[in-house]
Amino acid sequence: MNENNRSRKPSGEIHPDNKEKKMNRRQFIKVGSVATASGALLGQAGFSGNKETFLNKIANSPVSHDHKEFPIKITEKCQRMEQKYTIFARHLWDHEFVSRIESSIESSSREALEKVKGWTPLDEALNGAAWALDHKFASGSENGQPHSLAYEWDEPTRRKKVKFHDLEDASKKIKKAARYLGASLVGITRYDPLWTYSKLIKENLEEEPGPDGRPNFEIFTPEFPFEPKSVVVMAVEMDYKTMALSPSSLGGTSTGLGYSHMCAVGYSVATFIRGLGYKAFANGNDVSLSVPYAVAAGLGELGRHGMLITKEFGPRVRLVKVFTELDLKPDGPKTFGAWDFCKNCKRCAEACPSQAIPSDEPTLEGKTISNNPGVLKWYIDPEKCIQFWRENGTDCANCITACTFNKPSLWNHQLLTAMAALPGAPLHILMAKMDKFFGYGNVDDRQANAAFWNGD
Amino acid sequence: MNILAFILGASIILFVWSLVSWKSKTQIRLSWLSWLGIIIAALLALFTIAWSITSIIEGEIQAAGMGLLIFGIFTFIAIALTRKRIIRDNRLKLSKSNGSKD
Repeated sequence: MNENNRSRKPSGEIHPDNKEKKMNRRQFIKVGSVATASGALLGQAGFSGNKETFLNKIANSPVSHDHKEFPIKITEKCQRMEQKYTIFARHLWDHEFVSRIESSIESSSREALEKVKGWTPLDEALNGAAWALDHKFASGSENGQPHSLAYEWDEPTRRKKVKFHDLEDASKKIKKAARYLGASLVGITRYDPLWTYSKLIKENLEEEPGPDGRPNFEIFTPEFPFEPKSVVVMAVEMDYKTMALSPSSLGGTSTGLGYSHMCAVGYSVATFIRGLGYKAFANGNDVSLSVPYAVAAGLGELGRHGMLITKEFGPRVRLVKVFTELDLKPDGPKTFGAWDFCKNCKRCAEACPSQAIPSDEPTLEGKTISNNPGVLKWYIDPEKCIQFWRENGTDCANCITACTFNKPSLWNHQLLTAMAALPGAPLHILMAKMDKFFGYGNVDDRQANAAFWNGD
Repeated sequence: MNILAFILGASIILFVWSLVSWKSKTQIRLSWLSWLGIIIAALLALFTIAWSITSIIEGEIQAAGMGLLIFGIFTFIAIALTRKRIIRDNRLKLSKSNGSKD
């Protein structure tokens, strides 16, 4: 008897001790097909963060809820705000406030700051470069100065109007153009005078300051050259990596570049609409409030820090609007759980160096004359905020950096944004804590500031 | 990110190949619960790898490490429980085959 016969049972079945069972051709084809199909499916799914990929569709699909009404409570106490009360305009007329801020700054702080990584002359030069386009073509608009070049109200408009099939067709074309011209997100809403400043304030830059050294300015009621019907609201994404360097001057480049991009996008889209034969003009921080328009247009939700939180980028966006006489189909507000998450998270409040962001429940009352009461929200203290900006030597964006929703638009973060929409304070608290343990949202990272110029 | 898709695809192929190879070499039977455990453990492992590589590409090394730790723990728990299930399912069969050797 040979060994092979000894390994076989009399019935012809293979003895269990014979472990040298090889894969046959059929099994090889089966295994290979399954494995290849699995790999191809995963590759097709793609972890690239492209919104159109399969996994992103899964992550995004159950998240947004559409609303017919404005999702934030507004009482009758809420009135149109006068622009002079915005914190950026108060330096023009509120001398007591200016004295209070100035007196808190040490005279030697500027020189001391230049030695700190993130505030060196090299970093300041990059900051200046990032702001350059805004300062050239929309000078002062970041502080609310109206009528600055790119945000002029009365630019030449094509005489013959382009006709659209219907409102939806017009809206679709405008949005397509906006995305092409650089908008990261775009939405449309109806013009609402409540969000337009009742009176504007404009510094007379061509005149010398008065004998007391104070700037000259005028206050006037805005009279637009046309009756706005629609507002095209656009969000421009700011750079994630430099935003993480907040509150340094290097971190401020993200903000500056955001303002520069936003002025280019706003002016381009307004020019496009004027090229269709309809009057339009762009505005940023001037003329009207941006966040309520963005909420109404479905771009995101109001956060604890007072800024818009988008599903895609968190609060790491700059907002620019185009007012137009073109009638467009409005988008409705959308929510995705950010407001409820903000109730439990509070990372922005913890990261704020001046404790300007409240940790308690939303209210209807503001803290200072720079707040507009009557809206149920978390009211930040803009006086504390701007005081820190002065002490810091540059603007601060710690609240944006620390926000749990501030993430690159990658599959893993989109999945977690979808999870954040699930109700439950314990889940939100756990997610906020895990966000911290995973190292996200660190502010005042001097090592990262020092390492910036070493990387690509 | 393309490298991530490549690594995950290769991991799946390697895993399926190893599983079938192992199953064909041994006479171990897998119940539906064991199969479920294997699939869950495999998905957790893939998630752990995907998270860590994505975080490294993003430049968030701490997130990559924490991901390996936390999701890796869940993966090991799933593997341990599945292994225990498989051993339990095949205990009688193994003891029979050991007895017949004697």
